[in-house]
Amino acid sequence: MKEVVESDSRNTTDPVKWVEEHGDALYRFAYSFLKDKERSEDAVQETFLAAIRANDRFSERSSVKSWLFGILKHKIVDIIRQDARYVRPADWADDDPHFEDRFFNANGRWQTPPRTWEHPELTLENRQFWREMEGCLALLPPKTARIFFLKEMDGMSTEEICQETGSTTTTVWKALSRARMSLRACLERHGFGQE
Amino acid sequence: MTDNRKERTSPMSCRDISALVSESLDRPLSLSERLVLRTHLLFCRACNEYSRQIRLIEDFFRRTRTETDSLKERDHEEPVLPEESRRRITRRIEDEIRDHGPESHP
Repeated sequence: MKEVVESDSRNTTDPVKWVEEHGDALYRFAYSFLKDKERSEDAVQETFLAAIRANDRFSERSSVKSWLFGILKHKIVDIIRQDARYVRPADWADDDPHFEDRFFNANGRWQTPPRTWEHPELTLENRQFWREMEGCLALLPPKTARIFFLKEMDGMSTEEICQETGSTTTTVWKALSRARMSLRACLERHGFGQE
Repeated sequence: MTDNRKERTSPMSCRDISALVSESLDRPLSLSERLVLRTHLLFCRACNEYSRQIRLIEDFFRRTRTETDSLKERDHEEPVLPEESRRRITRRIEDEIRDHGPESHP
């Protein structure tokens, strides 16, 4: 089948028409993560504005829709990261050489062994879980968070993340390991998985 | 820079194992790494729980990617962008185009 990009009305590069064409789909996508009218509307609006500012960089190889969704994901992540419910320890930075020391003794054993999670229901529909997860995601330092979101929101491979961020594979694996370590500890600390 | 993978064939602590468990989600482990990991997990309850939990988290995000991806195609389902939000966003877009949009470029 031949691709006809120009004549497809759903592929218009006229920003005013985007609201009609893609507004609902973008909103629904944002809402599934943000669960809140105002925050979802913000995410959609910020997506359109960012797209207008970058319109000349739009490549016709992709569809307008997938381009907008790519931007929206970043806006959703930005909004999740503004959640300031929990406070990150002041000394936890991306390059913290002592990160693992918070979790392990000098002999390499767990300080607080992970407990069994009872009836773990990890879904977006489980508001309690997702609220905690949002708060915990906001705790990650910026580079660690960026790598984690590229992996888990965009589904990128290690190689793609390395290209995107200019990091080595070792850095990417370490960041992912630390993100997972801190997320599960944060969830458990706030009562997830306990009866 | 130190290669933190080189000593991983000797007996490992939970600290080392936790990193290996995580990496097993991101790259294929070598045969010896898999052996060390499996042996440790056989006897260590805490690392077992750790492995289970980060897999649950990984699985949650994978499912979420699939589910939310399918939302992009379902055009007429709830929730839809409320009418007043639609108007507000449209006005904001028109402002943006007037002030900074493509037309303002020479």
